[in-house]
Amino acid sequence: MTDDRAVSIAITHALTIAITTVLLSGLLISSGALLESQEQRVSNQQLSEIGSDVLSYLHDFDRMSSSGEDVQSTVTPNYPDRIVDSYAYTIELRETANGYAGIEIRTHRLDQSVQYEIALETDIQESTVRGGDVEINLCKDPQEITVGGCD
Amino acid sequence: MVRSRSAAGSRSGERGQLILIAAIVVAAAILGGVVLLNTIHSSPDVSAQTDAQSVSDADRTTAGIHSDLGDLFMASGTDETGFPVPYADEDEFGDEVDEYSEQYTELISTNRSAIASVELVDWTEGTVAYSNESSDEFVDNEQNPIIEDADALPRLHMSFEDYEGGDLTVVISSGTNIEFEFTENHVEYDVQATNIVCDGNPREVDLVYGAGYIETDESYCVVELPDLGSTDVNFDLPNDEPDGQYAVSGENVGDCADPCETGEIVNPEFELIYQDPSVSFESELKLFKRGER
Repeated sequence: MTDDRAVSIAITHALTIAITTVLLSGLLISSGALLESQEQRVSNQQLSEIGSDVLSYLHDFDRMSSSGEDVQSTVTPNYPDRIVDSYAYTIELRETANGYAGIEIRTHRLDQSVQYEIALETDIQESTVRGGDVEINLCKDPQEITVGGCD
Repeated sequence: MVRSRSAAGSRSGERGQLILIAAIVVAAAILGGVVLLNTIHSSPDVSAQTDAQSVSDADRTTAGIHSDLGDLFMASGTDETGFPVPYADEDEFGDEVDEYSEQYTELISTNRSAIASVELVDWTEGTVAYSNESSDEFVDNEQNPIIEDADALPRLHMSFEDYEGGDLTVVISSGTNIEFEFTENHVEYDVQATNIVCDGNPREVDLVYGAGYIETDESYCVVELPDLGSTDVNFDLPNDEPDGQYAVSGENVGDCADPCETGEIVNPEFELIYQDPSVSFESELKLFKRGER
């Protein structure tokens, strides 16, 4: 004979569901924290890769500008439209306080940015361009480096 | 009895269903986590590498074309004189550049999706005086000046296989005289109150608009003369003339020593265009810039 005193099917089900819910909630909360830190790390890595790539183009254009007169060149790199497929970003070219050319790649929603500096002999025109459809230009008249197209 | 057996069966069936549902929910949660993590780990590495390669290709291609144009220019002078003289015929050189451009575009389009074109768009007209290869004398009939009243000297080139003989002096007159004294042991000159000596037996002198080098069997010396205005080039020759060759080109020259060619291209200017899917490049370049050849 089985002893089924103080055993209720409804309560058993409720307890099982409650325990499962607590375990899943804990799993989702810890996963969320892990995903957020992963997102920060990967977005920083992508911004750094784009920034160092832009830096190499500036260096190449600086060298090309002395190869002849009225040199003009444009490169359209194939950068992603968004960081971690979710966040828009901008690429800014500006002159720093010590006279170098500075690049800042920034994504506002994650409040992240990476910055680089490089000494160039060619003048620069301060400019900003949205990520995705990027142009880096070496313009003539006057000879200067800019992003987003020559005037 | 029958009632208790069916109740036990019903309870175990319901527990089984609950376990199954819980397992499906956990699996869905894990699968969702995997999908989310995959979207985070995308990277632009591969695309960036391809584009960087395009810029390097453009840089390398244009540098190669610049070098080829220099060779083409010198070959044009060699065709006329049998001696590497830096000048080209105005009528013929443009056609030679067009032919080079066509052949080069065919060549690079065979292994990549790019085009390159070169066109002769302008030039500096002038005169080039050079040594007569068939003559035993360094300068025929000791004519001087070699070049007179030149606005500038795009190229001054001298070479000796093994300098023997007396001291040769090359005088570049522009306001003040700059005298290069060649002996068997050194080349010496004064510029802006500074005496400069390049030790060794002279082999070659190559100046482009007053900047370049002197090479001897012992050393390689950089030369930078100040900007020269209206310039004469004279050779002060010893009785025992050295065995060597020279070619001196000048812009808007008044007179020159034979043999010389007048009204020719002494510094051509080209328009160079390179384009591929990622990079476009356009430039106007002169063949000779101060200190570059």
